[in-house]
Amino acid sequence: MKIFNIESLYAGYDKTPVLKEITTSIKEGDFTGIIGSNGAGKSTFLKTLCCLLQPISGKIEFLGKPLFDYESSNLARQMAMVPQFVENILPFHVNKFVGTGRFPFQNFWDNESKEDKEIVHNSLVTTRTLHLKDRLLTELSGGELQLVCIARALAQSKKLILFDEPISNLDINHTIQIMDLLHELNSNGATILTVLHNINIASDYCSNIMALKNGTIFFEGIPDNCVTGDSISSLFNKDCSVKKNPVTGRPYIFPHPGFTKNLRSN
Amino acid sequence: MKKKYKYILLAILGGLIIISSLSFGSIFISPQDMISFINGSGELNELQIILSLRIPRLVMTLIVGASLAVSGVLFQAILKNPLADPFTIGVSSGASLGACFGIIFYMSDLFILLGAFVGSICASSFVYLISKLRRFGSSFLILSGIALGFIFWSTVLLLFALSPAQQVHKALLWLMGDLSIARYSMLWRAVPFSLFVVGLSCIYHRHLNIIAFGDEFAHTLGVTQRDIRNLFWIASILASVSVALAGIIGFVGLIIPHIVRVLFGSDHKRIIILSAISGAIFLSLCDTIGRSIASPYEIPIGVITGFFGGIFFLILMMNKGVSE
Amino acid sequence: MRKFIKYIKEFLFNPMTTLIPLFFMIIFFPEIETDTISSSGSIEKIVSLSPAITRQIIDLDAEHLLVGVTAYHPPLTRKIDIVGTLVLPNIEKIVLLKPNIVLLSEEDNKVQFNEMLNSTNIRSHTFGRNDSFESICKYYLELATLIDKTSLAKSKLKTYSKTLRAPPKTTKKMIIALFVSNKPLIGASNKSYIGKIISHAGAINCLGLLNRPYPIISMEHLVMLNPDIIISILYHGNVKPVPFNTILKEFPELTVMKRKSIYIMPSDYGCSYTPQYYVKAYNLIVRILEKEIKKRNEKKI
Repeated sequence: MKIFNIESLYAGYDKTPVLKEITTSIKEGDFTGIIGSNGAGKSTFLKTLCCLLQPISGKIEFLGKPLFDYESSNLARQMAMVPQFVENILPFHVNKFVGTGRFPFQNFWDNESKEDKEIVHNSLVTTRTLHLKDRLLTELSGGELQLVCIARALAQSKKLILFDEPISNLDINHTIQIMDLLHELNSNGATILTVLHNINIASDYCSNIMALKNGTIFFEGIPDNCVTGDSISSLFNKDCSVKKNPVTGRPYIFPHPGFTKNLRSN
Repeated sequence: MKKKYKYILLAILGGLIIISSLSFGSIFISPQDMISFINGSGELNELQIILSLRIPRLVMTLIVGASLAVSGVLFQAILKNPLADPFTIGVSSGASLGACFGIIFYMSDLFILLGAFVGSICASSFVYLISKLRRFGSSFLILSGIALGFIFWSTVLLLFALSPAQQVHKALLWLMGDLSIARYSMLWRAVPFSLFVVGLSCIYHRHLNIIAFGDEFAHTLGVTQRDIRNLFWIASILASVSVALAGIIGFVGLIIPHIVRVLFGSDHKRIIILSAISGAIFLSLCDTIGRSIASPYEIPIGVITGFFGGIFFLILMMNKGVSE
Repeated sequence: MRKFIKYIKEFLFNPMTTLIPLFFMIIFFPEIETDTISSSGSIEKIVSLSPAITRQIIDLDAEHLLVGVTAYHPPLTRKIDIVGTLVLPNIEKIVLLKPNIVLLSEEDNKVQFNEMLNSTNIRSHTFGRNDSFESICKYYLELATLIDKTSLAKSKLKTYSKTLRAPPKTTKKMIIALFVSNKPLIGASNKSYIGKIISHAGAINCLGLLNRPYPIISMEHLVMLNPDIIISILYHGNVKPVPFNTILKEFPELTVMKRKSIYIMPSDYGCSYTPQYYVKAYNLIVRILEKEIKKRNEKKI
């Protein structure tokens, strides 16, 4: 079932389109990784899907209905986004912060219901951050903060989560931990859409790759098919080789450092 | 210190300050005397008259203090800037212009009040409209507030340059904050109104928690631009009503939310009510000091909050520096 | 139906459309009229909230009735409690003094203060604006009637009026510029108390037609006007103001410098709205005019 159906989308900040003529669709259960160079329009794409940006022209459908016909709280109940950074890190308790994920489901006069508390608890358990429950956000490390943000998104929606560069600032430990978590969520039925800089991680974990170049879709498909030396080299204008990852069997790219030019020419 | 003890301490402190605000002034009325007045002696004692003057003034001070503090909480969340004061948005300069206009042209007190209110609403409308052209970003709001402040303030100075000295003196006193016009007739209207607006902002406590983290973050959770705008207006109205009633009293909206956050945490569920209470208590303390220290002269309350607020702020900044 | 409810909710929850009109309605709600306190009983204790009124009370030999004055008061023979400043009187202090009446002037525009006084059951009386000699005398008499000194007031007024010198006869009226401050140059127009006296004395106030009662004049403007006489009022303070001779040092061709027609008027003459001081100020100006006219005639000869 198609969750997002996008046709001829032009979108951007102000009037100049960053995204041009995007036509694609996201199906239920997809684990899509969006790759591309900086400025290609990846974050813009994500933001447009979240209804944060008005498209200049084109059509986006969410679950069959136009995206912009949805009420904001209705959308919030079905879709969660984890932004790249939290604009303002306040000394809130982790528990409360994750609790804000339940906001779209609460009325003005509601107190936190039992159901809300349970869902928050489960989110913390799934992301393995239960031990951080009573800590303040300001005390957490980068990786822990990211996990807590994911817990919050999980409390908001278990079906569809969008991520904007979730692992860009993290160490290997947290990177694998988070990607494993996303994989787990995906196998439990969530649709995941992530912007990633790390092609290899995307190749390992994602079921679907979408590459953006200069605001248009350069290629898309399953990693085995589309992550090739030629495609990645033309995507980034940088020479790369591709080899199979011996552990997962997915294609890994190896960009060529400058100093190896001499080695290769010989 | 446990939360429970903090609440009790706040309540006791509040009670003491309120009682002392009724006791001190040009003459000291002890609590025993107050009780005997309530029990009612036959004729109207002059001390009773004074008490009946101090009560409306106290009520107005509490309301203005609460409104300013809550306005500060709202603006700090919306602008995501802990230095946001209801007056950085240009509310104070707009109100100054409106009120000085009324004072210089010998209008009645009612029109001065209206002038202040209209002036401040115009200023915040202006800032808000400008920000609609761009995205409703926090830094933009603050910058346009400051720019507008310059324009309005220069106009006020122009009015001063062209006006007789006595009216300028009167205008300056208004600018420093003047709580002496408290009367029952104005109060029974202003108090329910302010309480209503403060209550309205309490409804938004969850929204505020979310908005404080970021605008885009808030949007993904279903807090729309419209909600943010409503909160902006509520905060502006609270500030405008306070300014219209009592002149420009700075620092309350800046300092009280900070102190409350340090003592009671950042959850807006608690902060809004506690800031209202703390702001009320703080302002009545400042007013009591202003009235009693140099009797029969009154030190304008804006001066006292300025001193206290400035000192508190410096201490806060130094502590923050240490912990970071 | 749901959409309708949604619109109503949005409309109500929008502070612009509900709260602001609500505020205006509240402010304009009609106030309950409080009755003014009726006059009864003799007056033995007076609080005066205007230095001019204090002066008049002293003039009427009624200083013993004063129990409260404002900060800037004329010299008093005994210590009287200060109840605050002209702009910000302290109502608690006034109540404590238990006066029979509080006297104010309309010039100070204290409508709300009046209401507060009424609410405390203290009688107050407001005198009107001091527009002319006639109105000043009228209020003087009004005050005298309140404190039962009508006959004294009438006789004093007669004396003062008698001492009014006749305005000097001259074919060409003298042009006077009067300044209440030397630095910056603040003049008095015909809208001010002292400016009106100039016209009454038969001279032309060259700053007369300006809009503000006390406009700030630039040096250029003054030089361009080139008045015949400059009168400078030195107001309160121990600091010696810069005299006009020094200020106009660079313009020796000005009429006032050539004829040495710069005069100084004592400060109480300029701001005391009492018949006594009006006459003093008026007579001073007339004397100055007579002196200058004599100088002018001599020059011609």
